This record gives sequence, C-alpha cells and structure tokens, in this order.
Amino acid sequence: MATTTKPNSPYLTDITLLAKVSWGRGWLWDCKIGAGTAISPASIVPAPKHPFDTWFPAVEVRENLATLVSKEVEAYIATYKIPQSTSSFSIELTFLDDANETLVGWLTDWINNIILGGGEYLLPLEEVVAPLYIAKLNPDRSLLDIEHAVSGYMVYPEGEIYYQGESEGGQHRYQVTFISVGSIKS
Amino acid sequence: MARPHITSIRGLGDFATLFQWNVTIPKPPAITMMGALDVDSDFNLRCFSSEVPKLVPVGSQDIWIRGHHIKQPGIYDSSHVITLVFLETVDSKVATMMKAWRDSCWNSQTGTQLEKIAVEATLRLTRLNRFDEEIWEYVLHGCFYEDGDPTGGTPLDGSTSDIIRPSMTLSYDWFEDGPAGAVGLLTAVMKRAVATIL
Repeated sequence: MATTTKPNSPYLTDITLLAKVSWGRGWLWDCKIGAGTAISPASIVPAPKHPFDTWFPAVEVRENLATLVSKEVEAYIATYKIPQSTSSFSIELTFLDDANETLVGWLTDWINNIILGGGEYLLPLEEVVAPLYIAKLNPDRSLLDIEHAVSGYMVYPEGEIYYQGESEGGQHRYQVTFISVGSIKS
Repeated sequence: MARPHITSIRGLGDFATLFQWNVTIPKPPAITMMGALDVDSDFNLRCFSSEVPKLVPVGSQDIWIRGHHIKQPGIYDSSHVITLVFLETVDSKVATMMKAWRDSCWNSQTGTQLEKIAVEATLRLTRLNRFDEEIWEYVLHGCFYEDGDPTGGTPLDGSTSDIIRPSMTLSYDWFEDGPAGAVGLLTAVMKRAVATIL
C-alpha cells in the first residue's frame, strides 16, 4: 500500500531519526563564582563564603549568548532592517540561600561596600569584578565535549536585592542579574 | 524456547518473602527523641510493617516534532517518604517516641525547631532469607519525622477490640540499596560506634 511506504524525501520522514538524537536536558548545567583576583589582580571581590565557595546553589540560569540590534531604514514604500550593533550581555541567576544568609550577605557587601564604598565613593571596574562560570554538562554530569562547554564571564551584580520574609513555608529565593564586562578565555 | 516447566520453577530455590525483615536505626536522632524506645531492640520489635523506598520518575522527556513522538529518560527522584507501622503497648512507648521526634521537628505551641542535623537519622531496612541472614538492604539517609497517625488511621471507638497500630511517616533525602553489606552504611555504623566509644 502506498501509505505505508517510506517517503523518498530529504526531510524528517522517519521517527527513528528522532530517536538517534540525544536531546538536550534543561537541568544539565552548573555554575560557580570565584574570587575577583582570579581574573583581575586589582579586584577586591572575595569568593562566596563556605559552603558556596566551590559550588553555587543556583536553581535557574539565563545566559545571554548573543544580542544583535538592527537599524531600521525607511525608504520609498518599505521599511528595511540592517544589523547595527549589540548591547551589554547579562546573566540572570536564581538561587537559594542558606539559613545564615551567606550568599545575600556576600552579594550586598559586594554592592554596598565594595562597589559603592559604603556610599562614599565608587571603585573602578577592575576592582569590583568577579568570575562567573557556567558549565554545560552531559547526562553523566561530565562536561560537554564542545568548544564552550564552560562559559566564563567577568561580572558585577546589577539591580536591587530585597530580603523577603513570608509567613508560609518556603525558601529564601533570590534572582540577581550580573552584567558581563568581558569573557574569560578557558 | 520451551515454556517454563514445574521443575524449572522448583529449581529457582527459595523465594524471597514479605515477612522476613528487620529495621534498625544505625544513626538515630538525638537519643532523647527515641523516648523510652530502645533503638537497638524495641524499634525493630515493635515495627509491624514498613514500606520500601523507591526511585520514581519525575517525568520522562517527551519530544514531539511534527507529529512524531519519542521519549528519553528524564529526572528520577526518591519517593522521599517511608511509612512505618508500629504496635503500641499501654506504656505508650511508641507515642512517646513519635511525640518527642515530632516536637523536635516542630513544636506545635512555640513553632520552634531543631536544626535538621539534630533531628535526622539513618534508617536501615534489611530483607532476610530463611536462616534470618540478611540478603538485601536499604539505607535511608536524612530521615526525620514527617507525619504520624497515633492510631494508624483507625479511630477510637466503642466496638473494636483491635490493638492500636500507630503509623509514622519519615522523610528521607536519598537511599541506597543492594546486597546486604554492600552499600555505604559502614560509614554510619562506624560513626555511631565511635560516638558510643566517646
């Protein structure tokens, strides 16, 4: 019967083609933040305190991989777009903190006392950056065998951090945006 | 291939049974939480039935692409709870143990709690053969009091002469299982032995 024959087509014709692919899994990543001196000798940003000095309890990550802004040009009866520029890259981390507020204490110290100098001065960029690494993993938790399995960024935190107390069960969950001011060559 | 014959089945040897098992707490919570219940003997003696920990799928991954649907393994997770049923006696040893462990996890009047490390235990379930030799073990790490029913779900009434069988549900973080003696319990046993010596 014609309907049961395999179509002669260069496109997706057979479910076995899907089964041959190892599809990406959303949870196979990890991240870490180190001391600033690892990437900038002048940096005075310390690594997060124990137990988060070797791993980071992030539960979500959004890593800006590419941004392209177009320029819109109007001509005659149409509008055209041409590549124009890019913008600053950011990484959003959502993480859980421990009972001692270890991470939020470290982050607020980074913003209030290191970057803003306790409200008295503003330190230059080279003194306030820290390395943020994002690793992509295989199902066996080894690093992916690709060129950029580990992305490294020189970052500083941007935005506001609020402590939020509640009256029902839950964890302390924070979302922080880090601005990338440069990539780290691995 | 030939269908299994009765001699084939007889050749399998002894079958594993549901009634030959032990439950112990190699690493108990702070000993006061066990009340008057002896960790080494009473707990196992009075434990009437026990669930077995298992790994459950959080959801295998569905990949739909233009009418084709395949699946691949997703995240698996421990069941995270295990329910034990006990036999209560008139000295209320089981009730005392459940109350002490429960109050340590959450004091219902003050809402105070002990740190998890203070209230957690390591539980060991073993299945036995006909010679009461351990053949398989489950070791549950990070156990603490999650829920309990003082009468095991049977209300007190005026026409039932059955005994009280309290049930206690423990939460656990993760478990190991395997042939008896093969999983990583030795660490917990050794820690307890050291603690006893000290």
